[in-house]
Amino acid sequence: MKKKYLFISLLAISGIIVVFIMMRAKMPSTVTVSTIPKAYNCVSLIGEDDSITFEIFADTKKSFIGEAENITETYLANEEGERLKLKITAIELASDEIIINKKRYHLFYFTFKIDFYPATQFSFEIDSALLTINYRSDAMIQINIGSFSYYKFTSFVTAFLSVGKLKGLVNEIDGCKTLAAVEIGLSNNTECDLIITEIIPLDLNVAFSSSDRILSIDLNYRFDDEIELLLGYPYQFTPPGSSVFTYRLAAGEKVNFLIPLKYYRLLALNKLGFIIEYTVGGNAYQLIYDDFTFFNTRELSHKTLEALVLYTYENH
Amino acid sequence: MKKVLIATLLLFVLMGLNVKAYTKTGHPDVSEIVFKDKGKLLINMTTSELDKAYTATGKRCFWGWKHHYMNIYCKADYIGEVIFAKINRTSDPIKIDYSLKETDYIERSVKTVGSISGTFSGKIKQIDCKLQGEYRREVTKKTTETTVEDSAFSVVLKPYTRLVYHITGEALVTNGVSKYYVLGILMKKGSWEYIDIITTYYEIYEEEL
Repeated sequence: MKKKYLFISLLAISGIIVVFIMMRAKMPSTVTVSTIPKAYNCVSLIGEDDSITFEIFADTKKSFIGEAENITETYLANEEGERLKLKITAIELASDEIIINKKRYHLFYFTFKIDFYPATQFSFEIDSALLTINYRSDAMIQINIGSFSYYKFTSFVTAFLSVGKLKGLVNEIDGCKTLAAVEIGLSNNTECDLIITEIIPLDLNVAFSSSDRILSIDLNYRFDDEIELLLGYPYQFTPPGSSVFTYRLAAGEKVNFLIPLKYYRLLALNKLGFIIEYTVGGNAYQLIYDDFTFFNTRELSHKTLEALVLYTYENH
Repeated sequence: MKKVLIATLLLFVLMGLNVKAYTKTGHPDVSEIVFKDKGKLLINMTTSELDKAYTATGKRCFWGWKHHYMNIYCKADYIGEVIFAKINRTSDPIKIDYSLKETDYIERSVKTVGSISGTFSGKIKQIDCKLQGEYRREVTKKTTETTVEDSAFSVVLKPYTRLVYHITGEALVTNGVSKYYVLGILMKKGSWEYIDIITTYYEIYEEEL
């Protein structure tokens, strides 16, 4: 009987010690954060709410960075100091751990609402976008998230021209899975000829290489086929040259184009909106397509991870 | 006769019989898998192949798990699935606003067979961590157990057309067999498989009715 009491007492004492140690466990003195720079873009109508999610790696779960309630101010800024205000809506911790330079990192999803409501058509492009988050404790983190292209329009569609197909061709360039070309299916809904005069991608990092476009209505290809295989000749993703898109679409005609992309700066791009400029009977019109997600990947290349910029802050 | 049928159905209900849709892969949420190079799904393995795999786990141990891997991160194509199809049978265009959340479709499908079923799903995560460390590939992967909005778009559906939003992708297939010993006695054994969907491609196209 005595032994039983002794055992229970020892168990209780051990439990108390464990709880005490856990309570005393200090937060790490520093926190290191990072993110994979990407080409972020957003296309929407005036009056619509927009949100954006950044994937941020942190070397500890216990730090001030994940405390959404303590965030006082957030914005994206360019090097000239122009700002786009953001409002935190959620911080979520993913279950997996990622190894960066032999160190374990936790993945957080920071979701923000864009806190800017223009009344007229508007565009804001940041080539090198710095995400700044200020906390109540006077702590601040600042991370380069890549680029950000933001476009607000008064309306998207026109009755004369419509988009009937969207498919992306995804290639790996320098260890980075990104859009290599976009297939766009168009139909002329009028009873007269329509002239497409330009197709403009809505992201500051890319341009369509119209001279390399191919008619793709009968083209069967995989999403990850090499672009050179489809074009039949070597293709360089940089630098963009000047190329003009002109195509006469007969009344009621449907056409599909696979249009390769050229990069001003190679950043992973997985979604894209575009503007199609066209004329009908001598009058100019625009069709705007909002940002369509062509692919998503859960792959993270070691090459990319090892080249990441790490930002270390005191853990408040 | 009716009474017998009703009694049988009642028995199935009481036994909690779980009827799941049959798929070619053996995973209810994965309709089709095509391996890029080599690889074999558990559902296509013969009894002798599985017996060999159990033998390959090696000598019994005093306590714990013994595993043998048959396929590790085999690259495969995850054959498409229609996320939605909308039909406009009216003479007016219809505007559609669509948003797909990552949580709307699977990222990992786990299948277990044998006496390990039910308790083994948690073990898969440990196995995956171990394999990621041992088999350093050019890429690693993250899970996205989040409610973050994944894909949203607006589209105008023309009169008398059908709009299809289609998803396809790339997957990694890992499978093996495991045995669990307690005091050198075999307590559980079974086969398992997990399919990670690593890249998803989206396509939208319009068809005339």
